[in-house]
Amino acid sequence: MKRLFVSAVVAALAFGLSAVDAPVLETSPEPFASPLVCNGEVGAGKAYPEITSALDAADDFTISMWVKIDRFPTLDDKKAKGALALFCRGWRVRWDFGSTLSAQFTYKDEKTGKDRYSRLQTAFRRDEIRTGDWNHYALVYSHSRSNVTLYVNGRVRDSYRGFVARTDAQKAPVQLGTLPGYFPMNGEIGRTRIWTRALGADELFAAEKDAARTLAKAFGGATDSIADMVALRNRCRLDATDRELSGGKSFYWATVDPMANETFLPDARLDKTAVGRPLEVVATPGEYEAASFIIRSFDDLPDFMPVVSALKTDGRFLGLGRNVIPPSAVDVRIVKTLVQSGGGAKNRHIRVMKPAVLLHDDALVKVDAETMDNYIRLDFPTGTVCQCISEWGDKLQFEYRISPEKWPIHDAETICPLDLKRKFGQQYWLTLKIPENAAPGLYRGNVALTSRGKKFGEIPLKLRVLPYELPVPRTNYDLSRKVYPGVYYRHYGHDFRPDAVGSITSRGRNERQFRAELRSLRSHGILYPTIVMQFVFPGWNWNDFHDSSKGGVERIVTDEQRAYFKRCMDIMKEEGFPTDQLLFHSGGNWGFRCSYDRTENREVLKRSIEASKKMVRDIVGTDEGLQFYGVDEAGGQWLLNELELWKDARELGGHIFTTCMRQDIKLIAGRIDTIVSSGVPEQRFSKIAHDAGSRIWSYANPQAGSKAQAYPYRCNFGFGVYFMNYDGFSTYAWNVSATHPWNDFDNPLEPDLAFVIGTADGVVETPAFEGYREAVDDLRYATKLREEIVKAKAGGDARKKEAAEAAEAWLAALNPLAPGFDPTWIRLQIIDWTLQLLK
Amino acid sequence: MKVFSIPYFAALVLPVAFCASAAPKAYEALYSDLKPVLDGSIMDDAAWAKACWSEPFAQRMTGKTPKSATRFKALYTGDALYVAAECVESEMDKIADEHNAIEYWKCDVVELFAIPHKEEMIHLVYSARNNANDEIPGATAKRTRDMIGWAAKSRMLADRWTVEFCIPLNLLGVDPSAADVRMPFNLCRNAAPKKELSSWSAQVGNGNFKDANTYGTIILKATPASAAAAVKAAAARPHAISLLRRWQSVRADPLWKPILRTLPAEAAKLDALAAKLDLSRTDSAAFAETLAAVEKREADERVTKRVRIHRELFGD
Repeated sequence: MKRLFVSAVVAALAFGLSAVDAPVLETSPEPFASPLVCNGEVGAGKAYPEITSALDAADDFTISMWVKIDRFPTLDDKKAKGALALFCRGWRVRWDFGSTLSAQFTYKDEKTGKDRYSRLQTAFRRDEIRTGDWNHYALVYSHSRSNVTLYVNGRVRDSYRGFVARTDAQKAPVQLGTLPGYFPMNGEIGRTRIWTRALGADELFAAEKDAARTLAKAFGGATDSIADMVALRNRCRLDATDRELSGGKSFYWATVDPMANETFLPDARLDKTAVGRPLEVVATPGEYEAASFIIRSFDDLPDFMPVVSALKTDGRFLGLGRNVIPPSAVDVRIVKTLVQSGGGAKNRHIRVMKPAVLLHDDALVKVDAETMDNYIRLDFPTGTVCQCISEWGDKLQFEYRISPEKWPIHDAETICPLDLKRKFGQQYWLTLKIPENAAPGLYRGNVALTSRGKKFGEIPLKLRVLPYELPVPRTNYDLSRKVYPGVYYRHYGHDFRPDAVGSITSRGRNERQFRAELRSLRSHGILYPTIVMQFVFPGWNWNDFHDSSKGGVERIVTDEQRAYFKRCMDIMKEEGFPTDQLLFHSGGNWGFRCSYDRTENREVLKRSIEASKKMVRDIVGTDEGLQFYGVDEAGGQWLLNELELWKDARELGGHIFTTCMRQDIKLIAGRIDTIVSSGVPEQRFSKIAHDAGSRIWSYANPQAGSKAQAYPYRCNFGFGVYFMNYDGFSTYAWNVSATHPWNDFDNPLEPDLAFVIGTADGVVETPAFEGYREAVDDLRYATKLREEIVKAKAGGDARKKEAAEAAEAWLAALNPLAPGFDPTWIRLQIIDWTLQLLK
Repeated sequence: MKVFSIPYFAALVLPVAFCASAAPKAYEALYSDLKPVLDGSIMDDAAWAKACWSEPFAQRMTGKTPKSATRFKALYTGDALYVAAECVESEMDKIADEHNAIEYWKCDVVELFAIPHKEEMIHLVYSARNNANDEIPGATAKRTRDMIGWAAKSRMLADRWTVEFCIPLNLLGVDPSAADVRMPFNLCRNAAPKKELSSWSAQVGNGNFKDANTYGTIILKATPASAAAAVKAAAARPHAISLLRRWQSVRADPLWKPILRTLPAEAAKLDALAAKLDLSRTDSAAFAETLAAVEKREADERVTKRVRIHRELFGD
């Protein structure tokens, strides 16, 4: 069931208006008065037999308690003291804190009569809290939903489906602070309350707001929120650091490397050396380059907005517009922290905050930190609605069409103001697009920090425009060979009718959305995305994986299909995509996949290849560079089965590319045109491929999906590919959507392995995709240096020759797998060498 | 030497489900005046005579007795922790060939995991055919200033193969001179002929050697008073093995060549010292000092270069 509510309702919940009924157990009316003091000795704790029958009869329950841990067990402690028991009914039904907070419930399976148990091993680690602090924990179980949820300080920290938590397995009394003869608590357990129903987040909040107030008062603040209480406590700790960093002002900023291997949550502690530094950018004409800063204020800043000035050179007048870069060349976005899954299908029950997307409008997504949910703003003609987009789901709908009429998700086109809360460290991401005609030199400007239109500070912005342009990337081992920056790009069943509403997923986009996608790809240097040919045409209607009697029909391309495909290709050409390499997703070996029989199918294969090539020739004028997809990630017998087909296909004029594991490179090198290899690139693999006459690309190092992280994509697909002599890269995927593209929790397969998320207008991008762009640019910078080395060595200037040889030796010595390899520093040195050779 | 696990009464009263990861094991490594000779031989080495064998390894996932038995001993000396493992193998002729040192998990290897400090899981791998691999965390490299060398040697016998590890105390960053040192620890084995994974501290139902929740504990018992000062000093300085590894990596790294060209005397001195370095000792002061001087030059030049480039690009 979808949750729909408007802001007013959110506000109502946030102020704790829900009424809560009486619990079956309340150990104390006061949250911290008369706590159960446990000294860490076995046998401490207290039993409450009076509530046993009530709990036995209940299907659902909620346990809520305030806990102050004085000491965690160490390796020196005996096993019996290896964890801190919070709640138990015997030792088979328990909730305790070992290395993480976890719960285990053993129950009798009514069908088999055997004992079964459910275990929730949460991701909440002991090092996330300080000993001596009060924290609030709640465990909420719903039998009808087979769902258990763990709250820490009012926020969902874990939620697990498929959990059976009957508490009546042993008929043992409820006990707090110890198991029978085991796991004694070491600290204090404050007010504990147990309800025989599953409380919601708002009810928990309402029930504990008196405690929050008590603590808030103790910390000198005023708040009703449990989470705010915790934030207050943290504030007390951070205050000293913040005051020092701000130098007495009411705010401070820190400039951060957007490509660094570090991401920043709103409460991140910032490096002292980064505070107050100007934003500095080095770029070439025509290049996109990123910069970033984080601002934190001691006061609320309503309608906060950074405003970028024009950038001007100090030098002489260089011609119309050449020495001024307008503010419009700088795209400013916020780095939006969202609730995302803990990673992978296995850990999707873990909800964590990640700075995952780049938005112009902060209000597009609201994050409820109490329940750890995201709500997206839907702009209907009749008004605005917030829709929950982090609901749990088990239904997998792969790349199905989702209408923007039902999901009118629109990000703004330029940066919007936001209400910046005090102490909330907001990261901003600046993307500078250097004009093609910008004169080289040092440009200066600033980013004005404004609130309600009034400037209260500014960050200096310096831009060095280099005196050269970047070439297309070429390989490290041969300057005559291009590197192909690609990505697995999903696009199916688009609707190019003028009035088409399109989709917010990769299926069924309209022309405007398709073009917006292509522009995003192209502006990131991704010129060789895979091209989907409606999966299986022309070719063979592929045999069922498990039943060879199915399928086996030659597919004939209809005029309608041909027209559709032509339209796709025409749009790609209009958007500036080259056609020297066309990487066709063609249904896995023209649909034969692994069932090819040379005697029976060679003629069909021949017709398929010829038809494909003719169709492409008719559309783009040439079929050179046309490549067809083999079976994805095939290994073992599946892979061996392909070899005969590949041999025939290549004899018949087809070219093949597909993914493989690294260990199979040796097997398929020379039998395939382009190996798209998973894993870490190494020179020994590229050598095998090149010696056998194949090209080799990198992918799945890693797959897309780690949206918050730019660094691995920049490093691994940039210099990580270049110095290993690879010919290209293409990871999976740019825009795949399993079920809803904005929901990380709604399907059992995977959080979306995507660099972008679809909107009604196009896509919103992520830091990860920006890292991918820098990877391409790193290759271009390296290529430029190689070009200058060649020129200098061929020239007559002895000094330059010497410098070229030194630069060449330096390049040859670089190892992207070496510990501490820093692509930002490597690029700066490449620039330095290049400038020396250009002098 | 005392070897024990911690079953207590818990193992008797708790069901399998409760202690699915089995009771944590512990192994006490005592101080030894005698240093093992690092040649892969255990039985012939007097240093190992007093050390007790650990409990036998258990099959991963099932906890059952493996087809290929494994056990280990450990002790520490005035400079390093030594661990020796005996890997019984009825099909020695099927010990895996090793064409690819990177994919060690396909080979007959012993994998040693130790967590001397938070965020520092040290993972050392050594094969029956004397190939080494390791994963040393960045935090360890930072703490030791890249002094991360260790050594091992294996030997193949008729019905088993044996391996000895030498892990410098400085690499571990522990000092047992005054009190016991405890750290999460496990020793795991891949027996390729039988495609069998086993470990000392059982990992029942767990598919990952790196799951530290399943580890036992190795306890370096406090050093006898007579040797405490020597152990304390040794733990504080890099082992000769680490110095040599660092120098070899510097020597082989083309990026260091310009630095070494500016310090020819130091480079020659390090080459000479390396040739006769006693790898069983930690008191290699001359080597350490010279190497530190070379590293300082590199660090200074890097800073200078950064400043110069920044100034040229941004004018200040």
